[in-house]
Amino acid sequence: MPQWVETSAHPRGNLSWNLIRAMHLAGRCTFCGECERSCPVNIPLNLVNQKLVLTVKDAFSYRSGYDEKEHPTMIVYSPEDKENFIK
Amino acid sequence: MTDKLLKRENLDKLIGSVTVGGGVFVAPGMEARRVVFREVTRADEMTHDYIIPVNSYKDWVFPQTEVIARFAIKKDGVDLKGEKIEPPETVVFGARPCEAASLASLRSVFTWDFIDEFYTRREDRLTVLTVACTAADDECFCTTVELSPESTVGSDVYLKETADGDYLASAITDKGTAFMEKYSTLFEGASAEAKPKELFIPEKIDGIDLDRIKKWLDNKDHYDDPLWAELSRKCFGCGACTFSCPTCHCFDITDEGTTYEGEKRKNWDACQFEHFTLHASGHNPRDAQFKRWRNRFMCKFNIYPKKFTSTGCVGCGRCIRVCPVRHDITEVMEAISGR
Repeated sequence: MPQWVETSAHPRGNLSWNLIRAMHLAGRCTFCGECERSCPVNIPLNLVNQKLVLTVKDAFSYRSGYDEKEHPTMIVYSPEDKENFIK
Repeated sequence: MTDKLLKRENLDKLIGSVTVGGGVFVAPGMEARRVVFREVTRADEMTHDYIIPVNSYKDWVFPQTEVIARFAIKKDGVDLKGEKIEPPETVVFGARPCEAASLASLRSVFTWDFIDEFYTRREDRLTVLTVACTAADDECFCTTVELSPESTVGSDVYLKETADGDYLASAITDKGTAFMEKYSTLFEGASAEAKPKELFIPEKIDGIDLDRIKKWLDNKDHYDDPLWAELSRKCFGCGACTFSCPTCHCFDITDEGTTYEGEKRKNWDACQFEHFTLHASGHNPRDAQFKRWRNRFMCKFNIYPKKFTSTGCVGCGRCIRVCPVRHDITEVMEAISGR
């Protein structure tokens, strides 16, 4: 049976994996850069991470890793949350 | 066999002659600030200043992903068609002697109890041009696993660099002889002045004894030795070592497409992943990272030498270089040799 996320290292498989990773890291990634450092083939993963950090900062004024008491933006709900990013 | 001279300036012509007929020329080149094996069409895409490329050229005989069959579910049954591959002539230039030896290891597995034509057809069309090492880094340990920059096993043509940057070539196999004949205009008679640069032979690591390792691993009491967990505690199972290893050969078969139509693919897999041995029942015989790491070590230094005549580890040092936590296989070899 075909799988949800293809494991093959072709552009389709790589894109699905990286998109899922990006979605799960939004609002969580502290931009420490460890994933890019440990990548054996120098994939510039920090470019994706930077995009996530900026998007979350613009939409929720939240930066992960700056305040230990604040909850990550994706696990809290507020009626004031913007909705214009839902398309 | 007398040496022939392949001039540096003739590399461009050699690449052109191979690729013009649809052939593939694989050589080390810079990509994302690292030296990698990749397909080139011009000599200026190559680099000559490297120890060993970060990836193995096994990708051209055992691709990361490939279609092996296509399926379609019809009203009256399943239509399954196996893929027939017709690989192009492939030339690898600038392999190192350690890595050249690994092809025999891949062949042993892929022709063991079943002839895997996806591998053998590619290997039949592959010519390996090895360039002997004139430098090494701290991770090189070929001499510790009974190889050396002087070993020609697995190479079709063995090249030594001269001080002018040219290459002294000698054919090792029939395939190598055929290759040098096919492109004979580019392999000139070598004059006596063309002297090869001195090879760099890395020092053998003193504390390592392959026989002792094999015997220690043979003893089943040592299977549950606390040493395994101690030595591989820092491993987090990313699998980079297996993907960069020239002798690692494990793969997974997976289906892609819709429920009714799609393809079967053969993809690289790694024994370092939790899913690798996960049974459908939920049971996992290698349920901890140290067990998976133990398997990797056992595979190379016990299972392989027992089953095949080829070697499981060629000492290229890639697994040490790519490891994000610097888990050094030679440290484990030393620790076990000392037992």
